[in-house]
Amino acid sequence: MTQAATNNPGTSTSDLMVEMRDVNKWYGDFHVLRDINLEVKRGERIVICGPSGSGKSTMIRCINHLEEHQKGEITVGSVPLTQDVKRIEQIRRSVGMVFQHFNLFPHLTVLENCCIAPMWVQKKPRKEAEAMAMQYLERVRIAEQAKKYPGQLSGGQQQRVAIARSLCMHPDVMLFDEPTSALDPEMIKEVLDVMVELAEEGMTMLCVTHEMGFAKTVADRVIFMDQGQIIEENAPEPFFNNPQSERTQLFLSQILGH
Amino acid sequence: MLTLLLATVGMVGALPIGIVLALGRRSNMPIVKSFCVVFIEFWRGVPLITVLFMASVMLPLFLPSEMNVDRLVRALVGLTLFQSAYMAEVIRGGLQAIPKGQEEAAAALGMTYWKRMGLIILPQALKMMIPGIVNTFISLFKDTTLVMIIGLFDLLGIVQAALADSRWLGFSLEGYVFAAFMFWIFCFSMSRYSQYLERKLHTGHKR
Repeated sequence: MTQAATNNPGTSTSDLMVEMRDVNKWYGDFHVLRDINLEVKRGERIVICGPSGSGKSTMIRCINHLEEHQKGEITVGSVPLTQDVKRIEQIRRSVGMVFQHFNLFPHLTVLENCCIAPMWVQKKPRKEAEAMAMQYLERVRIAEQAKKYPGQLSGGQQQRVAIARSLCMHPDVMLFDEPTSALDPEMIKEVLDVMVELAEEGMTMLCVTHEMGFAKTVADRVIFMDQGQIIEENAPEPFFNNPQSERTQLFLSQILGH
Repeated sequence: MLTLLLATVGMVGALPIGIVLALGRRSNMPIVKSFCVVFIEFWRGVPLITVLFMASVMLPLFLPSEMNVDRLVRALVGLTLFQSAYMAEVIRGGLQAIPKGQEEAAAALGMTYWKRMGLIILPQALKMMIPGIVNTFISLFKDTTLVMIIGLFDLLGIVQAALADSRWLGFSLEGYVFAAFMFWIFCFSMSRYSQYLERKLHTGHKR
């Protein structure tokens, strides 16, 4: 992976990929995020879980400014996130995102989906962008579908294309927003396999997911959120075997109980 | 032929202006947004006859006498602005039909606003809007007959002028039928072309 962050001033913090300090966010009167403090080091794999409405998606969407936070500071690489559009775009180029509903561009083929950002954002020549896209499509094992349109693929295939599309921008961090929640059970594995491989290659990842098996295998840290707060934060083994807070115990008993 | 000229220029001009107005109306910038809303609502609230009449009769009264804009040009500008307001609302409808996730995905890849619009949102919205856009074009095509009232002769006007000729006496039915037939041919081919376009651009997507 290219390390865009090292080109920026203030490289002393460069092994800190994402830093959130006292981040607060409101939707009207509703306090969605309360005093979020989070540090993610380069190469760290973090799984975020919690009941729905607990603000986990909102939190990771704040990192690439798809949601705006009202208080606190967020730094990505060494770039502080501000209102400045240029800076937001700079951060977004180094942060990949995979969505629950894939959000592939339906009017473009799989290959074009992967090439469009490298060609138009990074100004790569078409040949180079296509060669790189094919390489990533190969890695997510879907290269043979490159000429098809997203609508002709299954959910699992679409999600793997979406991962390849993000990787084509050579991100420093990947954000996964419930990547398997919209998939049929038999397709979940093919997507998780790709994510596990990615994690093993040392990609910095933040995953919002309910796949606790995934959390146990790859996560360096599991974060539990409820009502907009980080309740508990621990390595997977102590997190699952010896949860500290009552709320976490209840949550784990509910999702692991069946 | 004047009908074709008016319709073509109207369409070619109205589409880009309509796109800009539609984007402007969805903008977060208050000045841009209110300008577009006022513009669209003004032109939609005025009948086309009034617009043409103003363009041909009233406008010269306000312009300095040495500024002499051709009557046809004035009618063209009026027609184009009028149609672009309608076009803007059709396109806005299309923009609203695109799921929010599309723009988020484009934004997450680091695209600027104009790239998000030009590469991702508009191609999808315009494709979805083909029936609506062609509908607007067809009504524009037929509305061109109204330029008669400011003394410009379109297809129907020519027929009527010819009917005043004594050699055409007794052929009025044929004259009108011919004009109607010509209009029908053009409108029908436009709607066939739109169906062809829809089929051609269909990529079998579901959302």
